[in-house]
Amino acid sequence: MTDLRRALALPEWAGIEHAAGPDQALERTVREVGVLADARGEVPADARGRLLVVAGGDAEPWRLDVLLRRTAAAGGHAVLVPASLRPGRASALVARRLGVAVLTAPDPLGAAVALRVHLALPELARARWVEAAAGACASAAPGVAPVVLRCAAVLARDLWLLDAAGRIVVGPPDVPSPVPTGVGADPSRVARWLEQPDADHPDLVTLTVPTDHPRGAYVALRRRSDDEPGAVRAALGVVATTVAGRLALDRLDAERDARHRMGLLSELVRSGGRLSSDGPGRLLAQGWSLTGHHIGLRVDVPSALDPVALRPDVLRAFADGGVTAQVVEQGAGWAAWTTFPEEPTQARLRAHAAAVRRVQWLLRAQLPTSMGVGSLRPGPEGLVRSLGEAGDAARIAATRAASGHLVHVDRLGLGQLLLAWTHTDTFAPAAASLLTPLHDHPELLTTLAAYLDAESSVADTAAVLGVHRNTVSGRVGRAVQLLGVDLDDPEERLAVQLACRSVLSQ
Amino acid sequence: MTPLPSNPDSPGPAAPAPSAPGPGPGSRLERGALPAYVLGAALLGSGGGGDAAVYLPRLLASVPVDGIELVPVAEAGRRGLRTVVAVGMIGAASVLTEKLPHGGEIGEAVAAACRWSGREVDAVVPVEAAGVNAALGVAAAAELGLPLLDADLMGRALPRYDQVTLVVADPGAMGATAVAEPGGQVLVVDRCSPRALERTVRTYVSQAGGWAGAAFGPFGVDVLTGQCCLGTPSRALDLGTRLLGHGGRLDPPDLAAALGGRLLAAGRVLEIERGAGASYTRASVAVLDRSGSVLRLEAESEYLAALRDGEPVVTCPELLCVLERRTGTPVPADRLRPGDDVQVLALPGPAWWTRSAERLAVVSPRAFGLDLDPVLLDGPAAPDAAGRS
Repeated sequence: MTDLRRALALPEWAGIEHAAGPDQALERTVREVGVLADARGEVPADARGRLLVVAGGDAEPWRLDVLLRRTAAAGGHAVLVPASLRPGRASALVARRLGVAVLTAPDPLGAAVALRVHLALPELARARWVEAAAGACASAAPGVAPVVLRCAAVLARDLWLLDAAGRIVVGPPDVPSPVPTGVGADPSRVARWLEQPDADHPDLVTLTVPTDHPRGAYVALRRRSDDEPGAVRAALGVVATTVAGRLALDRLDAERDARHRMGLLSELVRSGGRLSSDGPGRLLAQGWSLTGHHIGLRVDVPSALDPVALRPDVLRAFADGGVTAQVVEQGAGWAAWTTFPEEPTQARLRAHAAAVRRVQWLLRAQLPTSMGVGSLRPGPEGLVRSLGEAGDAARIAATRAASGHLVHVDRLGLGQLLLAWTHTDTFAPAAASLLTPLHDHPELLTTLAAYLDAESSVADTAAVLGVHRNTVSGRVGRAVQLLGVDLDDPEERLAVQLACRSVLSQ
Repeated sequence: MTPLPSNPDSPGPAAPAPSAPGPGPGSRLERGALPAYVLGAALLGSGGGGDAAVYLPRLLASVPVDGIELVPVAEAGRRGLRTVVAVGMIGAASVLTEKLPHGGEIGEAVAAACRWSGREVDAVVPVEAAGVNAALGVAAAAELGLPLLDADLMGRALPRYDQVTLVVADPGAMGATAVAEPGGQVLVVDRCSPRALERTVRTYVSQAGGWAGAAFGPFGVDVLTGQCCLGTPSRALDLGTRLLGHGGRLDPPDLAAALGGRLLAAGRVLEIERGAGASYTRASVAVLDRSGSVLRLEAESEYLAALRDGEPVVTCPELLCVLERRTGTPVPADRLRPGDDVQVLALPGPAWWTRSAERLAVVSPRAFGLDLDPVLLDGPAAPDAAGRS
């Protein structure tokens, strides 16, 4: 699609003159070129958007008039005639009256060919881009990244695969600024930007990858100024579709692998570390070693998230944090463990703990994770136990914002571990219901809790709370009365104390 | 039935009252009506046919005051007119104005035709009652002292022998052709196809001096039945009379209506391109109408087609007339100049040509090398029917 003004600027059209007809006709869109052998030729019934080229032949002036008339009647707005058919004053007047531009060319056929080539250029460019992209995609090695890298190499342009947060998945490190990165960026704003980069980035062509991957995906290409945006977009469409296909394949592989891993782990846990006869082969296939010493790890995420799809992010966080570990999808999160062939030194364990802390920081930057760490234990049974400890610790870590939602089971007292049980789904509601009478009297609850913690010493309680002893004994009396419990009964006393811990910790 | 005198000196039958408008049975074309007749013949010339006005003084001198007899074809039998000769000139009409006739050329041709065929003639019919040939027919009738049949064999100005009605109807019907050139040479051609005749005679004429008087026949008057354009001379008189009657007020639309035609354009000649045509010089005339539209007239010897803004509006065989806007004088195709202030009229052409597709093909634009379908005027055809009644 072009217009005659642009056509007149073509180098091949240097000898062509606008001999007659209104200037406005030059602005109108030209989509096609129709060639007539001479001025006697049949004008097509619909000449809209068509430049009629009279290839040759002399003709009397009336022929030109008739040609102009028929062109105008068929909706045409321009004819190109041999210079020998240059319109006289009368024909020029007719051309103006009919609104048809008359161009004269020394070589009308040459002009027609040049214009046809010019008109076909966008399609040609598009075909070249699409073909190059399709060839690159077809020859790329398995996986998503090879597709992007191969296409970038073949198209000789910067090409990125980005996730919905604007983070680079594959591509050169200079992010097409200002794609906002990191947690905190408004996801809908990022998505809008990725679908339609702002005016500051006219060189960036982006396209959504049609995938249901939880992280979302976009491909982005930095075009050169003379690249036709439509052609680039078409090629990017090929890349996006291929990436979507590869993502689906990856996902399928990941699902299958995850199923193997999860099956093996649950069998391991169920059997307390004693696997059936085919166990060693499957362990080998997964690269797991049950001998040596293990530290269990547990990463919990909200149940809405998909552990299979997000496993690569977890693996990357472990790698970046410097923790060598097996990672297995399990429930709403991942079970992981580090195996030491020999019993590690204290320094080694400290280093490991620091690395795990780094991993949790990295994960928290992307996901609302909470992590628990088990203690160092030998052998298969030790692994299962350490994983169990890690699970308990992770549950506690969910409420420990102060510790970065990371809890190391070695640093937990037995009581805290016991307390962890009070957070179970069955105990917490029971505790709340037991203490319901104190709901409107928070001071009674805190006083009662402090009193129980202080081994029923009114003086100590008053010191901890900074109130008078009479106040403490008064409040405890009222609380006991409201609850209707007997604190001298060891079992009731224990129940009330645990309930206080449970309710206050929430 | 009174035998008609073939002696020029003997007076014809009693003429009707000189003031009678238009020819009736046994009417006369008087000398006083000749200026109108010649003017009308120019309109029938459709821009061609030669300038009859140049010949007018000569005609006035050769025609007696009471004029010549003008007999409708239907009346001929009753009047005992059995044999007729068709007369006209062959060659370039423009040469006629430079190489003046001595007046006896057609008479000599008729005499040669009579000698060759051994027949006497009772009446004269003009081959072409348009342009200079209309005048020559009257002059021949006066010279020979024979009545002029109110008909012709073209109905308007046409350039070629194969565009003669009788030749179209029956190429052998007219018999021999005799031509006499001003220098005195006489040539009789017989038993010749129309195309060969055209070639032979034109070759001779161009060698002999540019033009020659011609006589076709003699042949029986009955041959004309249904195969000629009736009333063309009286139409010339009628058109001329109407045009002269409008001498003082030549408002274009009114004039077109008065002449029974349509106004195509009124304005100045914008441009004229002349070049070689199919057989004659081709001219393309563009008139810028007051409305702003461009009326293009394609012409050879005659104006052949009119196109408005590239759309054909009227073509031959209808008549296309260019009149000087101020005086109403018809302007021939070869005299038109850029800047002339003109009006362009279309008048109905002869009805004989439009009665069948075969006839129309002989006089349509393609017969002149113009690749256009004929576009005829709507409404009544030429008043040929009136002449027949």
